[in-house]
This record gives sequence, C-alpha cells and structure tokens, in this order.
Amino acid sequence: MSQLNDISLVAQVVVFKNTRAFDELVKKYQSPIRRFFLNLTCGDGELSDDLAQDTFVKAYTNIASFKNLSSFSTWLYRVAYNIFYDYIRSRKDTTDLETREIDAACSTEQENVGEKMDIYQSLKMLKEIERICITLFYMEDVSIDKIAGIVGCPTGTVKSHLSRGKDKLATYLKQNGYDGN
Amino acid sequence: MMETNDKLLKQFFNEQKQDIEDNGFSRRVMHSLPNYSKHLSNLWVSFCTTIALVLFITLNGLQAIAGALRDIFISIMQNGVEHIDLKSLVIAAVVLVVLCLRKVCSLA
Repeated sequence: MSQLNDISLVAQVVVFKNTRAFDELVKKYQSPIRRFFLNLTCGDGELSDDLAQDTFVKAYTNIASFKNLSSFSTWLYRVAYNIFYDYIRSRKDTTDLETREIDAACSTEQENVGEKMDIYQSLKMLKEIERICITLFYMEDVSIDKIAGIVGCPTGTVKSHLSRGKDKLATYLKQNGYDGN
Repeated sequence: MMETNDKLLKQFFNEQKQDIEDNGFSRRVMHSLPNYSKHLSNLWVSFCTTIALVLFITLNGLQAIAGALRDIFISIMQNGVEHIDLKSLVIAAVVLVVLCLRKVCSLA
C-alpha cells in the first residue's frame, strides 16, 4: 500500500512536476535518510543534513530515471549512497582514509564504559563500506538483496562486509561492557 | 557465537534507533529544488495578472482608457496647433538627425 502510494507520488512528480507530491516524499523519507547519513558520518549532524539535502535534490532532478524495478526507498538509498561516495572521493585528497581507520581502531578512549553505548563511537571502528552495510541492515532493516542493489555489488560481498563489521562491532561492544542487558 | 553477535547487534541498534524530527528540513529541501523559485514566481505573476484583470473589468477599465485617449486627442487638436514651440521642434529634429547618423555609422 505504502509502495503504491510512493509510485503514485512519483508519477505526479514526473508527469505534472507536482512539487507538493515531492514534498510528501521528502517528509516521509527525511528521517531514515538523515539517520542513514548521521550513522555514516558518525554523528555529524550538519554534514548529514547537507548530504541528505543533496540526495533529495538529486532524486528530484533524476526522478524520471526511477523505473520501479525496486521500491522507491531502495532507489533513494542508492542515490544517497552515491552522494556519500562522491563526498568521500572529494574529501580523499585532504584526508587519508586509512590513517583515520587506524586511528579509530587504535583509539584508547574508554569514557563510555558502564554508560549508554555511543553508536557513533562504535561505528567509527568500521570501514565506510562495512558501516554502510551494517547501518542499512540493522538500523534501516534493509534486506541483503536490496543492500546489494544499493551498493552495486554481489550479495556474497555484502555478506562478507556484514560479517566483518558484525565481528568488529560485537567485539567493541563487549570490550566496552555492553552485553545487551 | 555468530548468532549471539547478531542478537547483540540487533538489540543494540534497536535501542539506538530513533526518528529524526523534520525541524524545517523538508522546507529547506523544497526551496533548494531547481525550478521551485521559478514555479513560485510564475504562481505570483499569475495571481497578480488575475487580480489586475478582475479590477480592470469591474472598474470599466476599457471605457476609462478609451475616454482618456479621446480627451488627449481632442486637447491636441484644439490647443496643439496654436501653441507650437519652435525651439522644442528644433531640438527634437537635431536629436533625430544625430540618432540617424549614429545608426548609419554603426551599420557602415
């Protein structure tokens, strides 16, 4: 039903350039898309809002390319993923990715022990692609098949990223005293 | 082991999951869409044109314009010929000649 409603709204945007219909789509998906970026940027609210805004603008300008082969949300996550990777590529010149990962992995911050675990701190342990897969799978409840469609790689590769990310996160959480209780 | 980790992570992410309030985000997105401002200006122009047309029709605009034109024509016919200002005519002629010359020069 929700998917049918999405298709109806998309059709109105494509055919009539109905901005009100697009406004409804933005209101519906702003929370998951902003949350997705918030997790990918490890809690940088301003940056995640900028990226989310770029995502919706790009979705609006390219909405005619939505062929209904997947759900609108999957297509939107695909756009968001591309926006994020464009951002990563543009930033790579100034910041060395590997150095940041090593820094994060070797970090000795223990301030959250015994307190509520900080999700952004724990996501810093992961590589970008692992973070994307983990966030989509656990936070946004996207299936592995759909994640494969979003990131454009085989399901086996997604499973590997998920498995590695899962191990790293579980180890980190346990080391910091989180046992789920 | 894998299942335990899976369960742990599911619980962890469920605890952290929260909806983000809009707080004007949708409005900002809509304002940054290409053609949105153009669409708004088109709407505003249409609105103003409609108001102008309604006022024009209800206040007998056509009749008022016809009356004003008629008055101007009559006053020109009655007074214009008697009070011709030669100095103004000469200045107007000189300006026209200069403009014509400039046009010819630019064409050449």
